Amino acid sequence: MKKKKIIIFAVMSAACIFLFIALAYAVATMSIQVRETQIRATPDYFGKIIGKASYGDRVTIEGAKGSWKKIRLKTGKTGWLNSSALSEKEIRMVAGAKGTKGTASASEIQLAGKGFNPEVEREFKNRNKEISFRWVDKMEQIRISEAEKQKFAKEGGLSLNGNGGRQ
Amino acid sequence: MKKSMTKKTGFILYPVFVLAALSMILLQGCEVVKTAAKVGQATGVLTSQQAAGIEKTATAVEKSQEDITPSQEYYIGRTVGAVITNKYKVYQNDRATLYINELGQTVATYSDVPETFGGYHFLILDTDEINAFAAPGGLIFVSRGLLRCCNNEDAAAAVLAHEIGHVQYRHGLDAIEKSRITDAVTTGLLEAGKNLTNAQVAELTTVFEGSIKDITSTLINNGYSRAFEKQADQGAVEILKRAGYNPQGLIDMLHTMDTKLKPGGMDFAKTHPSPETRIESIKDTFGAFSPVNERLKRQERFKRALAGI
Repeated sequence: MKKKKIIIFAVMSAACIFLFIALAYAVATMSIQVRETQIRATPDYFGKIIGKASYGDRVTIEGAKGSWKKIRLKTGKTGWLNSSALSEKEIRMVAGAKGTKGTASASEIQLAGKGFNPEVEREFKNRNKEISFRWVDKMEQIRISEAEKQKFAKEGGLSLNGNGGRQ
Repeated sequence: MKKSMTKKTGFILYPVFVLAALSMILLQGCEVVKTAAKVGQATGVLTSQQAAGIEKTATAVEKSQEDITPSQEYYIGRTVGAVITNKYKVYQNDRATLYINELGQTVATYSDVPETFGGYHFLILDTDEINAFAAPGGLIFVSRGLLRCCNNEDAAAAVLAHEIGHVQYRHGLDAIEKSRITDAVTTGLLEAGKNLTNAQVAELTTVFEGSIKDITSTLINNGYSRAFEKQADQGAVEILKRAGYNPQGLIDMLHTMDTKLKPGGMDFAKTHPSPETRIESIKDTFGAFSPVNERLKRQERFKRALAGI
């Protein structure tokens, strides 16, 4: 009877340890899922920018506050990223390839790798020559810098906590 | 004796696994849940039926949420945007376009999804129609007709926040017929890190073309469900509050829209619930707000940019 209890205890402990290890491993590292993102000194969009991370980069998660995660880069640098830039899934990358753009080059096709990518867009364009991407390419160039957004918010009397997203 | 002991052990371990699986659902993704279900089944703690149930639920969640990654969403959105800008003329006014981007990109910062793969970008469509389209990933188009329904910046912010709401809830992707994506997943076309043959690229492009048609016909012709429109309005109210805009701006805009919409029009008159219905479904969600106080700076820049709209 005593032996049975020990077995039950051992199995339960093993299951718990296994699950906790799985949990710890899964949340410890994340991937950048946006083309490029800025790393901040503090968990808010109006915080100082201290670095950049690109699509597919892996980061270690060291903490969280609201919708922000404290991350560590491979270089050892730490800072904050908004959760919307991060994915729990590993993004497979081709060594040395960086960044993806609207038009396809060989390295970008390899880089994107999965599903709907520049290669598919190119094939779509071949099949649908009447559909121009001119305006889409043009509108993607309209980028309001963080400093300009901050100025716009300040001038208009908007909230300046800059926490971004669900808290 | 041995059989009853195993049964008892299983009985004791069952809640452990169920609790663990539930906490995994809360804390992690679907993969671990599926693994836990499999482990549970293999160890005899869960019956195959229970394991299949957990796995099926996890897979269903994964289907709608994760099969299409943000980078794929971006490529879908680009093509949806191309279709829209081929159907509608673009309003070429640098000052108005810059303002709508300053406003929209700032407002997006306060959304649930402040960052998308390619970011949020805005264009004005040169049409009197009262219309707007949000392509997946954050390419957003608003018509001159719709901007004319806005009397102040808070109202314009509400229009853009509603469209950002559609993006953050991934409503566009939901318009894609499920079978297209399921088939592409089953045949391995959407698998990570796989080099596709020319024939597979062709096959995948056909899936892509179909997906674009599903989305654009929903956006342009059929409209989303009332539930999605309500969700986008509620999302807009939340974004406006976080940003410091008066959510009453949305109501003001809808009142003006109500006076301008023409019955039978091929725009919001066709694709959206009536302004009255929309007001009714959100008016109680944000408590009492006084009418929009047209702050001097906001009003100045709003007028400067959109005076001739």
